Amino acid sequence: MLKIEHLTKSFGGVVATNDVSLHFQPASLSAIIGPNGAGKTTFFNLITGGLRPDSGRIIFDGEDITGFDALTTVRRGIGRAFQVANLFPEFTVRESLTAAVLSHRQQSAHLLVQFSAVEARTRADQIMEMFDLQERAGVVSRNLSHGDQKLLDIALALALDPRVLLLDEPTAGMGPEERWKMIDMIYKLWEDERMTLIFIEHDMDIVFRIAQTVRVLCYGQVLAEGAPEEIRSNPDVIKAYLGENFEKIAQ
Amino acid sequence: MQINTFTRYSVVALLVFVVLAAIPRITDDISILDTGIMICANGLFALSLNLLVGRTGLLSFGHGGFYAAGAYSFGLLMQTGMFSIPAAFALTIVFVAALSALVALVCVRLNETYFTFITLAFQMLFYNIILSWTSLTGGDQGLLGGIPKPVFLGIDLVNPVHLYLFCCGIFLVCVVLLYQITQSPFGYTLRMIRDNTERARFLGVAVNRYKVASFTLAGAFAGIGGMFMALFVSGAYPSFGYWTMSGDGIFMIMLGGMNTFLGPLVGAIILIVLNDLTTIYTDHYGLVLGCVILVFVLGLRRGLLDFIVEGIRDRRASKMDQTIQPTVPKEEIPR
Amino acid sequence: MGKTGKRSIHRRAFVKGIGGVAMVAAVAGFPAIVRARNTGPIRIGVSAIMSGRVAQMGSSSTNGAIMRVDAFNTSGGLNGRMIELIIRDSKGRPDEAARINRDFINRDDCDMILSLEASTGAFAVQEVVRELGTLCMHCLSETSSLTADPKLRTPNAFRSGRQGAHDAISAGSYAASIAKEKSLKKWMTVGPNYAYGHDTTEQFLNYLNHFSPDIELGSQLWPKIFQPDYTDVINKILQEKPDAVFTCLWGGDLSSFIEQGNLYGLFDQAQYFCIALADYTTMAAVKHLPSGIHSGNRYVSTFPGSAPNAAWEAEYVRQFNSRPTNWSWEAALGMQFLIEGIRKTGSSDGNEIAGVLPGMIVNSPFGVDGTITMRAEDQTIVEYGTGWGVTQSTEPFMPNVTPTDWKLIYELEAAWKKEQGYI
Repeated sequence: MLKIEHLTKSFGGVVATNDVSLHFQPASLSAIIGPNGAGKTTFFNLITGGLRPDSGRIIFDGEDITGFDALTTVRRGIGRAFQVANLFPEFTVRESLTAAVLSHRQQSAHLLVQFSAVEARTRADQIMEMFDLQERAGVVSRNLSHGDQKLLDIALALALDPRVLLLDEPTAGMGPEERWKMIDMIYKLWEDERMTLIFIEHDMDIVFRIAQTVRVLCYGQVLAEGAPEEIRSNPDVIKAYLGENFEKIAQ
Repeated sequence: MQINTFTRYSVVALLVFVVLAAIPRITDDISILDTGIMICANGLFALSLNLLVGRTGLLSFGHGGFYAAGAYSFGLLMQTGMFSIPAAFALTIVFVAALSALVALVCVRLNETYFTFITLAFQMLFYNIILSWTSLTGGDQGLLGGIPKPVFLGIDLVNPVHLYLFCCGIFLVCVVLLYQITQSPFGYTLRMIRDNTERARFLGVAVNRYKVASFTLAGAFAGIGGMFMALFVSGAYPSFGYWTMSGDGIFMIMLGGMNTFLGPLVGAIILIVLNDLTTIYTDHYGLVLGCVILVFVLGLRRGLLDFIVEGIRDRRASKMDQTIQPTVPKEEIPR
Repeated sequence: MGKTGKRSIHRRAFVKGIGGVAMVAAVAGFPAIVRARNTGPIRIGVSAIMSGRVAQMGSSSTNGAIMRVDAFNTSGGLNGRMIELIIRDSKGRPDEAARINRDFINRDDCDMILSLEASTGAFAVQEVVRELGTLCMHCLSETSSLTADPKLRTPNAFRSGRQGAHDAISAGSYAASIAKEKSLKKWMTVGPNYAYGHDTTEQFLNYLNHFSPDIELGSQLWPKIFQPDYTDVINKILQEKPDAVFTCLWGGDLSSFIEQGNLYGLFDQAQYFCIALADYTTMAAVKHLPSGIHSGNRYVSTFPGSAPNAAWEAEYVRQFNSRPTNWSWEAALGMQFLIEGIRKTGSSDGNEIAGVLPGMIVNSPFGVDGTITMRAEDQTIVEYGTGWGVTQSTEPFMPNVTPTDWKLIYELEAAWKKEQGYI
């Protein structure tokens, strides 16, 4: 489905992504973990066309999409949500989703119909329900709670019916309760839609609870990959990443 | 349902037209009609500029260039004596739209500050072409000899009442079209770009293409404003394409408000009426204008119509909070 | 200043009279009161540039008009009907000039227009009066085509000012005679970089060549209008060492150029021909006016050297506490033509007056022989005093002016018109 081959990107002297090769199976649910500055977000940016790699290839569905810009990547079916909710501050929830659905259906340029009455609203309402946002339909994005903003961010990506969905720390900045709600929602989403879902996460409990496979990035390189249980017991991972956490927890 | 909404705008516009058309029947003061024509020309200029500034988030400082292009191209076409007014009108719209598309293709790739600069640069280029291509444009003396206004469909634009009705009619059609644009999926896509260009791109919006389209439409409508002015003064002058014209447009938007659709029109009316009254009673136009700016900047902190509309909205919102705690917003339809 | 006081009397009268009504009418859309045309004051709309860099153009020209009107009103007007001037600022913008003049005619019910606009404004006014048919006197626009080009001319619009074409002939013939006398071979030109500068320079060179074919042209310099610093121009002249320099810089630009050139002793090294220096406000603005500069007469009280001219200047200075300019006499003359027309027809009807203006001859202190004619064929004035003289550093700055022979002007003007396809 999505194949990354020897991807490398450096900023000045710092190598943010160093010879990364990964393969994501169709309809898989995988997590990418790693300490701060491990190059996780850079990795996402390389895939979605926000950044151009120095070398290496990205193969999506048999096509080489290396160096494609954001727009083309999105049109191929790779959607993403952001670490900090990336919204349209003056749009209501419903308007945001309707606009996203219209874009997906290539109806954004229509001039002779009313935005408030387009058929795409039905789909937008469905998505709103999936994310339990229907009560917030008329609220402008900048007035939403942090959790709802994150939900809407993911919902926007989902409105494009992506075949690959990249979520960058979906639970960042949330309280414990909100977190689990979000994770349940993501899991349900994946079960219902069966797209290839890749998410970046800090919280190990979350990762080990839902991910099928886990890839560990450290200093831009792939440190380990495998099922959650394998990762949990991988000594390199424990040393590089989990170790600190476990120590902290122990204290 | 959608056709109904469009019909509703058209009916409102028609009613407004009937009211405006009644003015020459209740007064023979032609100068009121002249003021009306000025408002049509400048109002359309400001409304079209706001499609860029307020809707797309593009601060163009070269909009006057297209206003001038409309005035000159219409004037020149009419002076050939080969075109009827509707034909010259249509050709001018096509020409100005093409010109703005061309400029847009160069400008939209640049980031905000450079975008503003390069639009200004294009405007100066147009201005200098007008000044130096004397054989065509008359240089700094303007397009001389008057613009012939042959009668068409029984409309005689030499007659000030006819000219007034003609401008009002076309102006209202343009306003309905502009409003429809802002209310359409296209208009909302422009707003997406304004609010968050990067995210719009990640949602599959071909951002530059939309910017070009928005710029082209705005330029074409500004060109129509320029044609009104050319008809009114029966000529075209380089000052139409000077940067101060673009500045006036931005000023009208600031005065009237950029978030409310009709804000720029209100701004144009304020500026024109203010100008009319100050020239009658004093030579200190600049002073009066400066004071008004101070009031708006320090007092209202936004355009007049925005101030009123947002004020009403806030008051309503606080009333709602006091009376009931709505669990489900009214517009929500249970599925 | 006296002039402001004077003007505000007219304005106050206007405001008291109908200002309130006009305002209500403008805002609420009530019909303006339509007055019978043969009673009440005679209203003349005056659009002028009263603000910005050339505000002096507006103030000194309106003064000239006001003097004439005061004299008319004091002598009893037209059977008791007084002239009321409504003066408004066009800010030098043509669209604003068009609007203001339409307002004069449509809202304020003006009987005629006195246009004190510079070129673009004047052309905008011309289109308004062409369309509305109101009598109009252009006073300040010197662009020849306004009246010379039959396509631009209209039977209801006249000009009471100088013309570029006349000035060029006058300058060319004078410069050629000095060139012969002092054998000035190598010439340079300095002109402001816009249409007026280029056209005037080109026409001057054209006539200079006509009268004196053996001259040699060096660099032509085009500083920007309102340029504050002329060092580069001055250096270029010092380098090239021409025998003579022609410049059509005017107003503040010319005074800056002369003042800065003084520092380099520029004006001792060649003969300078300034088409627009001999205007008191320009000459007086220069701290040490060099002597020996050649200039066309804009307005000097020594030319025409008649008692009426000196008296007119004295009266102007007494009333307004400032010196008159070229624009003052042009506006005063324009007003005089309108008044003579009103007297002759006994009416304020623009159409009737437009009928008697062509060919009208008025006594005027500015006429080369004490009279000025409104030439019928192109509705513009001739026989006004035009000529060249040499400056001196003290009052009266230009004691002697050599008048240009109008026969010569007529002859070359006709040739020029033919060349342009005007006749």
